[in-house]
Amino acid sequence: MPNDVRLMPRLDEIGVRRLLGSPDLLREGTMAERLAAAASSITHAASGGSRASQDDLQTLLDGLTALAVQHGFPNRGGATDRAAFDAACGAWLGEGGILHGAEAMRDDVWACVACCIAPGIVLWRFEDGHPDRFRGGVRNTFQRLWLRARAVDRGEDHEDRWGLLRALSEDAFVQITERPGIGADSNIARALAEAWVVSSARVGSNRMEPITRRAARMIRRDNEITCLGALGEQERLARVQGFFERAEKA
Amino acid sequence: MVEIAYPYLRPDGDAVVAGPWLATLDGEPCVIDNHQIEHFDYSASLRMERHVSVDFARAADEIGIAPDSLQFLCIVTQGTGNQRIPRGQQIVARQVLDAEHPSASLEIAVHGHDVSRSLNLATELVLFSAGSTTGRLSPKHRGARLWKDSVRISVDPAGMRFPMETVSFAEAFSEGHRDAQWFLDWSPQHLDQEFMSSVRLYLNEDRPEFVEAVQNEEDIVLRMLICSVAGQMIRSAITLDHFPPDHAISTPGSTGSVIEAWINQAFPGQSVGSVRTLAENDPARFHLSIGSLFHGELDAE
Repeated sequence: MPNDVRLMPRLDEIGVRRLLGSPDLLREGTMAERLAAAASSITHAASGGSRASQDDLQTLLDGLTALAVQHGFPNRGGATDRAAFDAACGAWLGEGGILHGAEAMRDDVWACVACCIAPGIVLWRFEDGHPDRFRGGVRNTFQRLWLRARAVDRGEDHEDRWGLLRALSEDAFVQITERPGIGADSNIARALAEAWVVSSARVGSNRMEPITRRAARMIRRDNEITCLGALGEQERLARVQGFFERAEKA
Repeated sequence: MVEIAYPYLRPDGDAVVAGPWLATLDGEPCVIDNHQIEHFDYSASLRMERHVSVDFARAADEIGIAPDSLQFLCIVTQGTGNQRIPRGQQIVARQVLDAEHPSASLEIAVHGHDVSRSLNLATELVLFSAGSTTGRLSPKHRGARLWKDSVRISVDPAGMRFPMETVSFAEAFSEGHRDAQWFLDWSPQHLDQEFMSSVRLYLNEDRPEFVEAVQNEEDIVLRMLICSVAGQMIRSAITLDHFPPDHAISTPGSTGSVIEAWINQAFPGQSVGSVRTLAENDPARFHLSIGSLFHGELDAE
C-alpha cells in the first residue's frame, strides 16, 4: 500500500439516479461531462491522502478500456469473452493501481467508476444496463470484480495468483461475494474456491450450481460455531472440501 | 439477532476476564468515546491493546475437559467496511493459552488506509486442543467458538446514523415534488442487501425549516419522521413472499433483518401474518404500535 493514498470521487445515490436518467450521457458523453453533470453529488474524503487527479481517473479509464477492447468492446464479445474480461479485469483491479484499500471498500466510489468513469463498459458487459450494475454494491460491474479478486487472491508469490478468477463460474462467485460471512474472509473464500475447483473436476461444472449453493450454506452455518479462519490452511481446506462432498451426495 | 444453539458446552462468561481496549492514535493516548474515534483518516496509525485472562480450572470444568490438556487459541479478528457487516476481515492476533499460560496480552497495529467507515474488533477464544479426556458434550473440533466479545468503532461518525442526506428536490426530481419534505430511497425487492448501503433518506433542502429541525434533532420531528419511515418499510415488507428473511442465508445487517427486528420490537410475540392482518383490519392500531417503537433517536441499531 503506497503512502500517497488517492482519494477517489464518491457519487451519492441521487447522482446515480441523475446519470441513469441520462442514457445519452452514459453512452456518448465524456468522463468530464459526466463528472460535471453529477458535480453536486460528488464528494471526496476530507483528508488522509491526495485527491485523484483527472490524469489518475483517465489512467483508470484507459486501463479498463484496454482490457475491455481485448475482449470485444465496444461492439463484439459473447458470453465467453465477457467472462474472460471479468477474470482479467478482476486481476487488474486486484493488483490495485489507483483504487485500493479502504477507498475500494466504499460503494459510492464504485458507483462513480461505473456511472462517471466507465459506463460504456458497463453497458457492453451488461446489455440490459440494470441499475444495480451502476450503483455501488456487490452487483456493481467493477466492484464485484474487485471483491472477487480480493476474496480468491492466492498471493503475490503464487505462480498462478489469479487462477481462481479464471476457474470459477459466475454462480460460484455470487455465492462467495454476495454472502458477507464468506466473502469478507479471504481465507474462507479461497478455501471455498479451491474446493469448488476440485469438486467441479469430479462431477462436472454443469452440475455445480446446486452443489455450490448447498455447500455455501453448510460452510456459513459451520462458520457460526467453528472459526474456520483460525484453522490451518490445509485443515480448513479439508473441512470445506468435506462440505462439497456432502453437497454432491445430497 | 440470530441466536445460535451451540452443539457443545461453552464456558460461562465469568471464566474469562477481558480488559478494555486501550488505544493510541499517532503516538498519543486516544479516547474511544461512544464507539467513535475522531480525527481518524487514511494517514492515521492506531495501536490497540487489551489483556485477556482465563480461569482455566473453572473453564475446563464447565466444558468437561481436563485442565492440563485444554488449550485455547485467543484471536482478534479485525473487520472493516460497511457499518454492520465487515466487507473485509482477517485475524490479526493469535495466542495459545493453557493452564500454565492463562493470559494473553493482545496488541494490534491498525493502519488508517485499511479502515473504511468502521473498525470491528472481535476477540474470541476457540478450542485449540482438547486432549483425550473429554465429556460427551465437550467441544472437540479445533476452532470451536467458545467465547467472544466484539466492539465496533466508527471512524466515520456521520455514517453511524440512519443513512440520510439533504438534496434539492427541485433539482433531483424533474417531475416535481419540490414541496415534499422527505423521500425514502429503498426497494422492497432488495431486502437481502445491506441496510446501511441500500436505504437512504433524502431531506428536501428546499424546505430548510424541516432540514434544520432534523439536524437539530428535535424530538417530535425525529419521532414522526422515523415512525413514518419504519411504517412505510414494515407495511411493504409484510406483504412480500420473501419476507421474513431466511435466517440460514440472510445476514444480520440486511434490510430485511432490520425490518424484522423493528417488527419484533413493535409487535412482540406476533407472527408476520398476524401483523399483516392487523395492518389490514385495524390500521390505526398497527400505526399506534409503530409509533411506540422509537425514542426520538434516528439510529439504525
